[in-house]
Amino acid sequence: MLSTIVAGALSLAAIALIYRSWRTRALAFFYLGSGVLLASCIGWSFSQGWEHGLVYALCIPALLVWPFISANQTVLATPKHTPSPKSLNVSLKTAWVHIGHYLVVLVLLLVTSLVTSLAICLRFPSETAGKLASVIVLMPILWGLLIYHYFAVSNKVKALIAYFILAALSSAVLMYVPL
Amino acid sequence: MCFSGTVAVFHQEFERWEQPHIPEMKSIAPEMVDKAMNAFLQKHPEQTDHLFVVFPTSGIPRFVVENDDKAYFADSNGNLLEVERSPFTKMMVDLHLYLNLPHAWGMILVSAMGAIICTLVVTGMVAHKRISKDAFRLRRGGNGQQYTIDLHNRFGLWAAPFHLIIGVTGAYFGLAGLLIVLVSSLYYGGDRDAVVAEIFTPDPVMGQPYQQPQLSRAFAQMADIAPNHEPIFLTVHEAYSDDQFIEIYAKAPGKMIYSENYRFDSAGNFIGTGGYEDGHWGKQLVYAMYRLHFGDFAGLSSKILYFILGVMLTVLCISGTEIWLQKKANPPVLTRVWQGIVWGSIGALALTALVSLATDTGLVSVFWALVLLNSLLSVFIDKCDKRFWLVSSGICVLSLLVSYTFVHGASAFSMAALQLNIPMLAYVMWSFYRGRSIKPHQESLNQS
Repeated sequence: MLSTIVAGALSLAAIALIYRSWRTRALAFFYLGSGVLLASCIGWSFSQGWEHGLVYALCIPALLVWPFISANQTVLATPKHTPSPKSLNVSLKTAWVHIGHYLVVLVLLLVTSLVTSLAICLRFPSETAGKLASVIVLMPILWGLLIYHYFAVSNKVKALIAYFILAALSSAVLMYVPL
Repeated sequence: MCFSGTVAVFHQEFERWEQPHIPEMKSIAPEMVDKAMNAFLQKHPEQTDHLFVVFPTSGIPRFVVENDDKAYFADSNGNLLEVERSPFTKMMVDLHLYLNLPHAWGMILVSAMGAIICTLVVTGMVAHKRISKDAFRLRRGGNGQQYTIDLHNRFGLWAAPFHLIIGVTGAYFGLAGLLIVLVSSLYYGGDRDAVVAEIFTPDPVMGQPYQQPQLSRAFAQMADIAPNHEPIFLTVHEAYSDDQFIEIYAKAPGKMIYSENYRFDSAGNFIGTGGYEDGHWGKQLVYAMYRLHFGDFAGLSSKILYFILGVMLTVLCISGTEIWLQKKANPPVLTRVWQGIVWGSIGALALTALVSLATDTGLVSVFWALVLLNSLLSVFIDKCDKRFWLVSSGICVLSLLVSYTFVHGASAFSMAALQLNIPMLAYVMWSFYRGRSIKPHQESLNQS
């Protein structure tokens, strides 16, 4: 119980130091806060075992930060003008564009991220279980990054070509390069 | 997805809530396992692939014996009580895991949402240039838009590790199947079982003459073999065949893996473990996905943590859409439909639970019909705004509580019921208070 209280106090101290660095714009407090955050990871791991402890150490700051955010609230004045609502742009063309984006994100980028993650992770120096577990972690993150890239770039055609090339190269690696 | 997942954190508590009168216990004597199973087999002698015994240390302090189709509660003396019945919990978990779609497609779609969450975490960090400058800022007042944006960004930044955990583990459930298909086709001649065996320990080859499985004997040995491991449940695999064996799943203390598995032959002789607790890190990581996703690793404390963080993730998704709507100056129909979906889903889920008090069937239809009705009402009736849906969700939850008390009588005040009824009552009071306190200008914005 004492170790849990100490770990919780370390998490709180880390947030307090980072808040101080934010208020005073002092980088030294930020580094100190990061160090205490690291110490809280060790504290939680000591208290709950490293697997549970790491989850607590990473997630609990999301709760502890609210007193600091509350202390820093400001109230804005009521605006004089309320904007009038924009009209909705509903057209068949827009619907098709959205369906196209949907298919790219859910099908093409799924396949691309799956084969790319496999091509990368199956080359890791680990047992098969480790390689497969790495794919499971890497794939959704890679998928997410590709989705971000797709929506961020203005030239969608170039992006699509890049995904096709990436998927084709990864597939070739999977099929022709021996493990 | 996020809302159903947040509620589904308490799926075990909802199972208890659906039958609050069932006697609860902390443990059972080993000899009662055989007694309860024999009584069950007398009632249900039909052939089945598996037999199960769920122990009171599973997270639900009740004793259950079941086959692939039927489940009965038993008391601590091994006497059968009544059939297990949790239609609402099953519907709610199915909603979260598959969006009530056919399972193969539903799971892939839901898993894709996991990847979308990963996208949102990444884009949130990259796209918001002032994320560190505003890290502790919360600006209230005005037209409420800045408050929504600040709340959205604060949740997004500070709970990002949790969001990534949920995104990656959520994506796993559906994408593992695709991964297995691809890897087995490429390297294992299409043998999917061979790929699965790289992670999950394959079944032992028994080849013994069939005999009645000695469950009590196997269960009694757990106190010596793994004294610190709390048994979750027991399975008789390949029941009634020569390959029959007993497997006891037990929580490994301090570990995130679902369980360590202890295997016994039909006579109850210990064969070995599944090798998860001390297995390869990859094996442990994959076997940890369930507990990491549902927060079911440290009892109520981890569940409460996941519930609060789940509410934050739900608010993050809702506020993201609200910000988009505000950028469009709140187009009236879209704003109302969105609020109808968000707040109306709570009412729809409460009314579905109310219907489940009377019937086991059609709950999926009830829920989605209500969601559709909410959307249609929002489209055609101007009065169906946020305040309306918020208060109506409170009325729906209150109706559920009143009906529940009427149906279950004194059991509605048992611990199994109160642990959910009290939070639900608190929600009712909050929704009425919040509904009354929505400022007129916010309402007029939504109505404009």
